[in-house]
Amino acid sequence: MYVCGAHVTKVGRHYEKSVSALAAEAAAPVVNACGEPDALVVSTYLSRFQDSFGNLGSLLAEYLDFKGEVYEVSSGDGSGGAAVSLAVRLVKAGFKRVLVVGADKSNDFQSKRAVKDLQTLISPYESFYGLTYAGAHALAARLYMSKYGVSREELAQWAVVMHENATAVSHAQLPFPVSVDKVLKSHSVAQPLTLLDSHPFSDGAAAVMITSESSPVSIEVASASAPLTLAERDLTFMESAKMAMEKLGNPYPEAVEVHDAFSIAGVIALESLGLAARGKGLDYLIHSPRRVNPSGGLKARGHPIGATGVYQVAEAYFAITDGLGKLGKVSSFLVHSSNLLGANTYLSFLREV
Amino acid sequence: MEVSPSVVWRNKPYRYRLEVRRCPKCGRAFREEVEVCPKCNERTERVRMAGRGKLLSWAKVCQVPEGFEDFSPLYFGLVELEDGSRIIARLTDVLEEPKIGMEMEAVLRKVRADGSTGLIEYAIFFRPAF
Repeated sequence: MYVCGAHVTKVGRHYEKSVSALAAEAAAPVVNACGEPDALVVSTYLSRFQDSFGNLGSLLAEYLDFKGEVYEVSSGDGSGGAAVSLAVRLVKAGFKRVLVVGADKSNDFQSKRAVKDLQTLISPYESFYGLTYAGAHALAARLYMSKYGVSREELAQWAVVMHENATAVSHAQLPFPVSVDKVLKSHSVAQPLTLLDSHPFSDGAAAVMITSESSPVSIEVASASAPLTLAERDLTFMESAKMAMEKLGNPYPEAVEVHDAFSIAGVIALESLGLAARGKGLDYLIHSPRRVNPSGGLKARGHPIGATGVYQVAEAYFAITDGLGKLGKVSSFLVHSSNLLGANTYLSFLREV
Repeated sequence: MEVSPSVVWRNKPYRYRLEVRRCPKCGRAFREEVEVCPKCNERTERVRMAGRGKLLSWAKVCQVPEGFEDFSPLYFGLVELEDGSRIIARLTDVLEEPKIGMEMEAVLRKVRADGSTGLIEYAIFFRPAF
């Protein structure tokens, strides 16, 4: 299986555009470059709640004047990765070209509404009395920090590196540097996590075309799952990421995009993928800052929830074909997309052919 | 209306009494009315989780969701109960910074009241044990 084209819109606050307009903007150039697909796989998450609209796949098909098969794929904040996985499976099953489009909106209401909408990722019996997406990550962060003796200052390095990487990425939402001090002094979202440990609220859309026709970039996928219930897992490790990585044959990629909705999730992802030893994710980051989330990650490129996994695969494609930000050009790239801290993991491994 | 009477009613066993449905074969606990274990096909048994345990982690949520503005900040804890099960629950009576490892106990508290109907939602919270 191959990737023959990708396009992304700038991540940010698109007050002027709906989720369907953003999706069309990302999709059209890819169809023009690669040709008409046999199937369209669409992912979104928050827009269903923000725009009270749950039929994006069909509307996008109408806009593209596409008459083939349409699927909408959902797996929480890992929806983008799930859509890419399914598209690769569809091509493997016989389709020549499958277009994947991830599009989402987080900013159509004030942020506390997005905070509420993101609670829908969490099991109802854990979310109903107010546990937030950030709160779940904060529980993981304190557990991790106490288990491995990691300080608040050390954890802040994640945001510093991500923002630095984003400065060279034109579609990133937050392309400005931050200092450790600024991370620590930014206001508290869910202690021990601060605003600058957290993903921004993002709108955006990305598209990639998966094909069986020989192309300069190949793609393989692997996925695995763990309990959704947060209390039922080790919050300092993502078993599903480890299992999916084993299915891929534990490759050692030149660069990786991990799903760092919050700093702690990025650190845990590096360890769960086996790229760093347990408790040593930040050491890996410090030694290879350009090879971890060269886009700036969810932290600084941004996190349009249901579109994020498609952005990551598009970025991997850019890194192999043209080069990406401060990383430049590489020949292999691993993408880690995750639903609620590893309830589901969707990995894509892209290589130069 | 944000609070649904039927949802409040059907969730009473877990939210008021920490009752779960446990599979006698695989031991997994369902925090709602899953009457037959979907994996083992065994009839699940209603059991009550322990009301005391040890705090493994906690978070102070300052950016609260819409509808919880009056209760900000919200404290949450990951608690390992005396029966070995684990729970994520709201913490209450937090007078000083919680300490990892401290003993916690269950207590019934008000979660919120619906703005239009006045329907009140209650649930088990955890507080530092006396």
